[in-house]
Amino acid sequence: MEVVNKKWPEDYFFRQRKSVLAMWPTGNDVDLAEAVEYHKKMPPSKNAALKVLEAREKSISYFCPSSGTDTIDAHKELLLYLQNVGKVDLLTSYIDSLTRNCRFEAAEQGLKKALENRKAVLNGFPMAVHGVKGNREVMEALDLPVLMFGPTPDVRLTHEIGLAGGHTGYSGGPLISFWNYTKNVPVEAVIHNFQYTHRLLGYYEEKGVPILYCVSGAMPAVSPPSLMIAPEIIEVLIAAEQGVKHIQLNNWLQGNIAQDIAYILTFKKLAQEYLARSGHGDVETTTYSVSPTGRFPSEHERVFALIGYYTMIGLLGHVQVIGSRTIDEAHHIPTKEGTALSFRCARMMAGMLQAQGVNILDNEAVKVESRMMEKEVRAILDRVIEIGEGDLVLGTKRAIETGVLDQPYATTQLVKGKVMGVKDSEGAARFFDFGELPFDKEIRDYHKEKIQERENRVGKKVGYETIINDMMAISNGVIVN
Amino acid sequence: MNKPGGINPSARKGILVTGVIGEDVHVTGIRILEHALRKAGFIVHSLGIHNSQEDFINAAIETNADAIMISSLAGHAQLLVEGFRDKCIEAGLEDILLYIGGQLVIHAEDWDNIEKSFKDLGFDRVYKPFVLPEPVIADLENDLGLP
Repeated sequence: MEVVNKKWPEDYFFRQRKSVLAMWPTGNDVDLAEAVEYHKKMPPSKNAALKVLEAREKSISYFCPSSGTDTIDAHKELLLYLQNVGKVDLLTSYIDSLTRNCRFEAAEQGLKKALENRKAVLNGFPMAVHGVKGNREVMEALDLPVLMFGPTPDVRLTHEIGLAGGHTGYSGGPLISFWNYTKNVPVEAVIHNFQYTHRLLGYYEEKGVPILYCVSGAMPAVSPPSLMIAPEIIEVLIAAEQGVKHIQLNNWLQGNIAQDIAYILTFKKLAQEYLARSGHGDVETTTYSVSPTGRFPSEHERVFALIGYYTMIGLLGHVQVIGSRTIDEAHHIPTKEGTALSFRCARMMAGMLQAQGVNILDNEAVKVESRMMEKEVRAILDRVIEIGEGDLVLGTKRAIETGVLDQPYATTQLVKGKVMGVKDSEGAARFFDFGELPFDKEIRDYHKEKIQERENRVGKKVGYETIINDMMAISNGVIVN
Repeated sequence: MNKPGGINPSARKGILVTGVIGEDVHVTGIRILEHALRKAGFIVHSLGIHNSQEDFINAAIETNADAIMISSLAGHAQLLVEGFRDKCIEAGLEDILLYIGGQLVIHAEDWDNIEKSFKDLGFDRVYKPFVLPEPVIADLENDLGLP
């Protein structure tokens, strides 16, 4: 069957569902009707979708770490610590990488070893291996909502079990999974898997259980924001088509304040516009900000400053949820203590800033960035829709083949990989190479002019050496050399 | 595999197979190098991440490559390329150039020793972490006898 952007008929979904639940024995324990009742009995304060709407209503920002470990007891202890000591507002169950690749048997062996040695073996929580009951045991020990976290090409069974187990959201998406977590999986296969999980989220919504879905588009590496926003909006629209009703927009902060704020404003505006145009104007959108993975300073004092800085940008952009890197992740998988300290640092920033209502959204530099970013995103999306002859999924497939959708450092081989970014003299990300992006002269000249300013300042041409240095600049203590 | 799209055949300098060996997922370095190699006029057959010795050899045979360029950042390169030159010779790739670069070992060691150990394994060129594309391209042009 050709993968297209059309809501799955219920019988097609339930046919697919049989084989998904058969992927691992715990799939047999999922009873959708019972799971819906379970969610309805949970207090609303433990529902992620409702919690972020509350933040939007109150004009405040909540905090959400991303963490997870393997055994039920250890995961429970970790999340309780972040709730009680880290003082965060939402929690996540980070999915281990074996589970993410559907290697459930290997995950089960890892879990056995972790139980025997009383020491973590897996790098996250294996929802499917623990089954519905195991998931609920963790959820019931907590007072906060918990999301599942982790892009992967096939998260279908994990969704079935994680949601029935009391999780109320998921962060990941078909395009970030395709670019950054696969090598040879065709994009339409990843999208088909995600249509399943979206249809499942939509099923819960139809039965009156709100579930939060968080898109993240693509992992940036000195990437102009349109490279993330365009795939993120595609993820939003594909999810909405299957009935997802609560969507969180992930804004990747790269450190240039005007560009980062413009990202938040442009993404929100265009996501809502394209949703309305596709007949999904009833979808609730909220915003989230986080700095991307990449080289981070190793010294705690410098990371604390960076955590405060990125938190400030999220607060100035009025996002509903703020995520953060942690003080220890340059050294190892973050500990619960390191994560808690990092989020207490972030909350201090909110404690100072939130009451003041500082408004920089109308700042001139923000407006200039927003105007150009909006033009870029529209150029990409409108071409995707055009070459898909009206179908977004077909358009996405063709756009990736032709480089209309492209990424600089993708792990997948099924991408042009011609675009590349470099910083301008103020540390904003610009196009070093436009690849096959469908941009007009005004956009191209704007980026060239910004790069020229940096060349004039340092007195030499921007080249590969500049690009490599730009990726390490922040870990060396400056936004741009 | 990526197609050699967009390159003018008359500007072609040589055919290269590039990729990361082993379970390593670090891709940024090789992507920058591939970008620079294509700009410099080479045809680049990129294998991306997660490749075995056989993957490199099969691709080199299939594309009639002039050089294989291996990237590795996880520190296990010595184990992963053991016997690679011999396998190339067995496969009929007697004259192929072999380049390797990245974080090749786990511990800080004297560079001359590292370079020698990889040359002993049959590599023509060995590069430190964060080498820039320009000197690599100059070496390639030299080794391929290009003007």
